[in-house]
Amino acid sequence: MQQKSQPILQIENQTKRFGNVLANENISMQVCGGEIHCLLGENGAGKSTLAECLYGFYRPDSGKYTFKGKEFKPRSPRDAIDAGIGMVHQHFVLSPPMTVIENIVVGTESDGIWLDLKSASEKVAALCSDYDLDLELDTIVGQLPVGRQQWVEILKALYVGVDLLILDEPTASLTPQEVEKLFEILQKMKTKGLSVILITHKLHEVMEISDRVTVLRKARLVGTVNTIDVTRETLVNMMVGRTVSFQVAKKIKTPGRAILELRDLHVLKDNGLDGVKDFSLSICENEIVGLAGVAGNGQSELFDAIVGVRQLQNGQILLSGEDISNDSPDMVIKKGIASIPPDRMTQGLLMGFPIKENLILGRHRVAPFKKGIELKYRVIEQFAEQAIEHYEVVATSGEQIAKTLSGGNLQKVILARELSHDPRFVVASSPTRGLDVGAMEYVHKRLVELRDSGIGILLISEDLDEVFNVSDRIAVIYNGEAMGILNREEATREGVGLLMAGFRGGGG
Amino acid sequence: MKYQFVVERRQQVSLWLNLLAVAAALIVGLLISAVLIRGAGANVLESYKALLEGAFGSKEAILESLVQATPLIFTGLAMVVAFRSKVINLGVEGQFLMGTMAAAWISMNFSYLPNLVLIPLLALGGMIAGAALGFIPAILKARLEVNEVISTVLLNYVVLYFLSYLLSGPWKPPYEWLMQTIRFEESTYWPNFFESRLHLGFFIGLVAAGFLLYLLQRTPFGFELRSVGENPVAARYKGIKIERIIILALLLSAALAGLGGVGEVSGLHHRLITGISKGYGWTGILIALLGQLNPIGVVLAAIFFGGLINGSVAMKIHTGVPIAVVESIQGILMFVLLSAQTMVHFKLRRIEDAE
Ligand SMILES: Nc1ncnc2c1ncn2[C@@H]1O[C@H](COP(=O)(O)OP(=O)(O)OP(=O)(O)O)[C@@H](O)[C@H]1O
Ligand SMILES: [Mg+2]
Repeated sequence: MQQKSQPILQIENQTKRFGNVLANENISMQVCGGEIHCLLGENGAGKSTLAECLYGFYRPDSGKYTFKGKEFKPRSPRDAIDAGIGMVHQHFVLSPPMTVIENIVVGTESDGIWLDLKSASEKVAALCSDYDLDLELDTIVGQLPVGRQQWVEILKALYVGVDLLILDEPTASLTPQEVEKLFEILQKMKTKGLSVILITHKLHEVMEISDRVTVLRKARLVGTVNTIDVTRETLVNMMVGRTVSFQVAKKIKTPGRAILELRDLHVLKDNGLDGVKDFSLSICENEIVGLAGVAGNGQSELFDAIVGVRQLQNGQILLSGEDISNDSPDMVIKKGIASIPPDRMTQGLLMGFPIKENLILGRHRVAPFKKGIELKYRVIEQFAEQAIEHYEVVATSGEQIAKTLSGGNLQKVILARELSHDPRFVVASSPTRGLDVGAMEYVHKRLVELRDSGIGILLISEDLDEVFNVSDRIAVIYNGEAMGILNREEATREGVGLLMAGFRGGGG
Repeated sequence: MKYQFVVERRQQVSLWLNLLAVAAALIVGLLISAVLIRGAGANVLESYKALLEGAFGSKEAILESLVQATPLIFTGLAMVVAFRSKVINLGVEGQFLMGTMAAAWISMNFSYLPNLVLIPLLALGGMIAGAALGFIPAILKARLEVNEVISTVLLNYVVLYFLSYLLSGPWKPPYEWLMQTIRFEESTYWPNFFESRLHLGFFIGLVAAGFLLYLLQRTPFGFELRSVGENPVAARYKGIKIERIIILALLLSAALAGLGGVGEVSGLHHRLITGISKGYGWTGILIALLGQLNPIGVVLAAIFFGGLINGSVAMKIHTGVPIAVVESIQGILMFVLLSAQTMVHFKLRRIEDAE
């Protein structure tokens, strides 16, 4: 669809640097009224920076915004909201112990200190029915699934009446169903004349939902195109300057002996309810087993049990026949299990530490990083340099503090740490979350390479594309239970989808 | 072209910038204090001259400032360990007192031992006594998740009351009317240097700072300690035994505090007196912050503060500025310095408005 409407937002020549890192250089773009506009680019290209500047979180060094026909200079997110720009961050900023309605209303009432919850509730309820959202307003936000928490974020913006909503990688941790629902919401916003800027790495989403796409590369603007005029391949080429294969080349390998065996695992969640029940699965050498499932069905408890941070109530974990059920996390690491955690910021990284120290976390007591009683910083720095190069981490050096890296580059640091040391077994939870297409291709290749060298891999992922792309066998977890396991050749998306929804007898 | 200024967080703060900030803060602090001194009717320049000379104006002044700095080096280092591992040890004051009591007890009971044996024995005893007090909140936190803020603070009072009990009876010689012990035998003295009150404790403090710097920055244990302070969840996932680190960090912190206490008894007073700690445990918090949680920074901050204490005395004597004003000046300087350290993390930047 060709855009005929007036631009609601105009960005002219925005430049933003952090110290000597140039994050945005001379970027100009326009967003039209009633348009869904995707922002695309490699990890570290400057998408989040552009969005945060617009939202008043950072101040651009130079450049000019015109919003709704007037010059717009946000000094803080408050200014942006007042002007009619809302943002949903990749990491939500809701208050988990408060209710839905409290979260929506807090900070929006300008007059008086008393919240008028009643009239607010009516207004929010009206919005919910408008957008077809089935949400109890008195629920505690922390108890909602991620997809619904995101609704709350969106409702918060709609409640104050934004004209432009920015979403930074909103689909990274959603299930396909939740993504579909999110897109319905965005379409409805569009028909009401609202505009959306959507940052995502998933090209099929771009093709499905956007009207136009603006591509950034290495802090610069590549161009803006109409979505109907382009293909996925064109976009990839604009983004990374080469073609990327979405299908990894995989040789057929006959799986060897079982390397990790999970037998009748029973693990509790934090709240004492069952997380994983009677779960059995075995992964062989030379094999990648994909574990598909809707988030929150016991995957994180299973992950925790394998890496040794969560106690087994029952059952056994065997590594090459050796019982490691009650091993502590350090023993599990020592025995050669590498792990990529589901929540990179809290479980995987020391955000205030430099990249180089993040790269040795967990290996800081073994050679070559430790010698005698000392950490060998020279060796550590060399390793950091290599890791940054191999994994194409966009960083100035190993000294850069982790929290100043872009989302995808944080993930690359974890991958580099976990996959560099010849593990015997890898348990990877959404390893490519937040990665650009090029980086995703690299990680998938690396996983297959590890498998070919004899390693067993358990790939826990909600992303069926990923699961189907690299797995040799596909298992499904639902409500903490194993729903069956299929060979890659006999599995179909529909079948796996049914199993994920809890219907046994799906599958092949 | 129009220009505008924005406030931003700096990525890294260079040493130069830090020094500049300290200098600027000192100037601001001295200007504010000048108003107070004027108000008290004294001559500003003369007062400052007295302060500076009293602090670092002569060999004697410098040595005495180092004496004042000595206990603060230890309590500051103790707080660095705590802050870096995010174990909030507010019991440094009590642990320091435990060190003084251990030194007193050893001095009273083992004075027959040779000096060369007693010097390390006193140090060891003080560290063990401090650590023993630290062990209680450590184990309560690691095993039972009892908040260490409360337990460490409460133990200070227990120790303080126990100390005054000892000094009002069991450890007080009958002829003495001050609440203090007898003067200990010379065999228990830590050596003094440069014919001054400066004693071994200061040099042990320097060694302790170097040791701590090495421990934190170069060893796996130090790395684990900092990791737990930064993000305990990630630390646990990557195999670090958090409970162990919490316990060890508190023990280390408390042992450093205890060692500081020994210095005051065996190096300076040679007896245990009431009020032997002038709130050193609490000042240690400021020293640690002022030293940017860096052991070397702590030494510098402690020497600065030692000079301030020492110089204040001279200022009071020579210019008649009342003690309340002198103490306010100490507070003002501390305040502006700490503020400068926060502010140095932000910068003003000129940006263009393309108009
Ligand atoms: N606060 C900061 N301090 C220093 N550098 C920063 C800061 N924030 C971002 N950067 C740098 O700016 C560049 C752009 O980062 P940005 O987060 O905008 O990337 P992105 O396009 O959103 O990437 P991703 O897809 O990985 O999320 C990166 O090189 C990043 O390291
Ligand atoms: Mg980003």
